[in-house]
Amino acid sequence: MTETSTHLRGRCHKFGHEMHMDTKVMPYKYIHLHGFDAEKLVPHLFEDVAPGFHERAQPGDFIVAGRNFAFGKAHSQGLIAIASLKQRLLCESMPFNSYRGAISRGIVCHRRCTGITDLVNDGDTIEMDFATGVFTNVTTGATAQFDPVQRDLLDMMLVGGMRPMLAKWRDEHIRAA
Amino acid sequence: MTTAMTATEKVLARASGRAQVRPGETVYPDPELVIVHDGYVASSKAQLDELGIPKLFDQKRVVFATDHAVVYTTPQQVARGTAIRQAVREWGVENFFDVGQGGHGHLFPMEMGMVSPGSFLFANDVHCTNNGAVGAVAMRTGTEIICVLATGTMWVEVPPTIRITLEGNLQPGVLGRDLGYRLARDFTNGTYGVDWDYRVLEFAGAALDGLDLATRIAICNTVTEIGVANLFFPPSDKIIADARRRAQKPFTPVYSDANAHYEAELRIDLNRLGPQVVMPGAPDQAVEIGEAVGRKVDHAFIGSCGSGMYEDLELTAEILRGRKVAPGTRLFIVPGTTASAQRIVETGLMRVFQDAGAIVLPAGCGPCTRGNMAPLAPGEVSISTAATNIAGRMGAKDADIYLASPATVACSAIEGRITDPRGFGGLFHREAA
Repeated sequence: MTETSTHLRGRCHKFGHEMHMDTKVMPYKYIHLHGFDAEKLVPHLFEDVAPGFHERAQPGDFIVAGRNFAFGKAHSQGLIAIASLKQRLLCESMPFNSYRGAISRGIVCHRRCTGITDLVNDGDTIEMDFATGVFTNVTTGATAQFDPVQRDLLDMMLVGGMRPMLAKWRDEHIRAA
Repeated sequence: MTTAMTATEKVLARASGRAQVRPGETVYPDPELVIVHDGYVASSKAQLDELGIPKLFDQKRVVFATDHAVVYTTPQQVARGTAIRQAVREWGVENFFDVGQGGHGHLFPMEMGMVSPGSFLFANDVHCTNNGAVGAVAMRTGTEIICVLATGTMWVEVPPTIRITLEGNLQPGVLGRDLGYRLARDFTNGTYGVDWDYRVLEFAGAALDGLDLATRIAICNTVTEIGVANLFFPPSDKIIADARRRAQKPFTPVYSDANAHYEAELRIDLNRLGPQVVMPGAPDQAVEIGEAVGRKVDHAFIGSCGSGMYEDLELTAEILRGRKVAPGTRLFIVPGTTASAQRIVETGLMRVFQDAGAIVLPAGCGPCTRGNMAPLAPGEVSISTAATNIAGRMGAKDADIYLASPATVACSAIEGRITDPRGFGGLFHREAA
C-alpha cells in the first residue's frame, strides 16, 4: 500500500505488553501449515488474544501495543498478515529483527512510543505524524511527542516495503539508463 | 571532531564513508564481500528477475556458498542446485563454491583470507556473526539480501555495544561453547539485567590471548540465536599473523578506542565456569552439566558452522582415540570446510574417527538443517554442537536435542549417555593451555 502522507489517522486496536510472536501474534502451528500465504495466515492473526481480529480490522487502522511487541524468533508470518490487512503499528518497543521485518513488508510503524498504551482505548480514533512524531488521540484529546521516524525508513514504509523500494530503484537506475 | 568509537562503530563508519557513526543512526555501508548461502541464491535470482533487475551490483564481491544442502536428499534440492548454477552463469559469479567445494560459508571465507580483521560484509544468514571471531563485522540481511545484491547495500542501524571482560581462564574440559551457552542463558534470564536485543557483544580482558580462532568462533556462534546484532573479538597478535598469511588483499585491523562508549559492561570469571548442557527446546536453556548427566543418547554430532574448525576436530579425535562410540549411539563428525576435511585425512584423524565407529559427513551444516542428513526419529535423543535446538531442527519434532561442547558430545557418544568431560579418561586433568 503506497501512502501519500506521513500524517495518518485510523482506529485503534489496543494490545498489551509482551505480545510473543509465535503464540500471541501468529500461533507457531500456522507457520508450517500456511508458509507465506497471506490469505491463509490472516484469519489467525492474534487469534488467541483477539479472536476475529481480521474481521474487525479495517485498512488503515492502528495496532497499538506495549513493550516488546512480536518478541521471540523473528518469524515473518505475523507481519505478513499485519501487512496484508493494511494495519499500521505503534508500540512501546519491539525487537530489532521484527522491526526490520515490518519495514521490509511496508508496515508503517513506530517502535519507540513510550507510554502509548496509557493514552489509548480500544476503538479510539488516533492520529500519528510519523515524520514529526506528533501523536494525537482524536477521541480523548490526549497528545504526545515521540521521536520522528527517520525519513529514508519512513519512505520505505510508505512506498510499501523493500520490493516496491527496489522497483523504484530499478526505475531510477536501470530503466532510466 | 570525532568522538571515541567502538570497533564495530569504526568498521561501519569506514564502510559508510563517514568519520563518525553513533548507535541508533542508520547507515548504508559498502561491503567488501557479500555471502549468500545455498538456500537463498535461487530465490534471490527469481525475485530479482521478477523485479526486472538483471545484474548484481558487483559480481566480483559476491560469494555463493553451498553448505545447507551439500548432498541433495530430495528432488527439490537437486532442482535448486540446477537453479543455483544457472544463476551463477547468468550473473557471472566467480566465487561460487558448489557442492564439495569450500564448505561452510560461515568458515571458509575466513580460512581462505577472503574475510580479514576489519572487514565489513553482508550475509543472508544469522550465523555470519562467526566473522566477529577474526575481528570482522558481518551484518545479517535475511531476505533483504536481494536489496544488497541489486544495489550493493541496505540500511543498517548502528547497534549499541556491550563490553564483556573475561577474567581467569577456561578450565580443563571447559570450552568456548560452554561460555557461549552460559552467556545466552544469563542474558535472556535477566541475570545481567541488560537488554541484549540487537546489541554487539565485544570481548575484552587478559583471557583473550589464550582463545584461539576456533574458540572465538564457537563463542560467537552460540550466543547469536538470542537476537544479538553481533559479536566482536579484538584480534590478537596470533590471529592477525595467521590472517596476514591467508589474506587475499591488505587489511587494517580495527580496535575500539580506549574511551569508547559502551552501553553496559559485564565481567565474567572463566575460572568459575563449568561445562554446560543446553536443554531441548531453545539455545538459551543451559544448565550445569550435572543436571543433565546420565541421559541416554541415540545421536550425536560434532562440527558444522560453530565447532567445525580443524582444532575442534583435533580435540574430538584426542577423546575418541583408542575408544569406541557406544553401541546404540551414532556419532557424526562434520568438518566445517573442505580444507579441514582434507587435513583430517592427511593428519590421520580420519582414521581415528573411523576406528571409533564415527561417521564423517561432508563439510557443511550436517544434520543441523532440518535433518537434511543424519536425521532424528521421533522420541530420539541427540546431543550436538548444532547452532540451535528448537523442536524439529534435525528431523522429528518430538526428538530431544541437547547442545554441548565438542568435548562433552564426544565423551557422551562414547558412553552412550550425557557425560561430563572433566575426569573422563583422565583427559582434562591437565591445566588448560
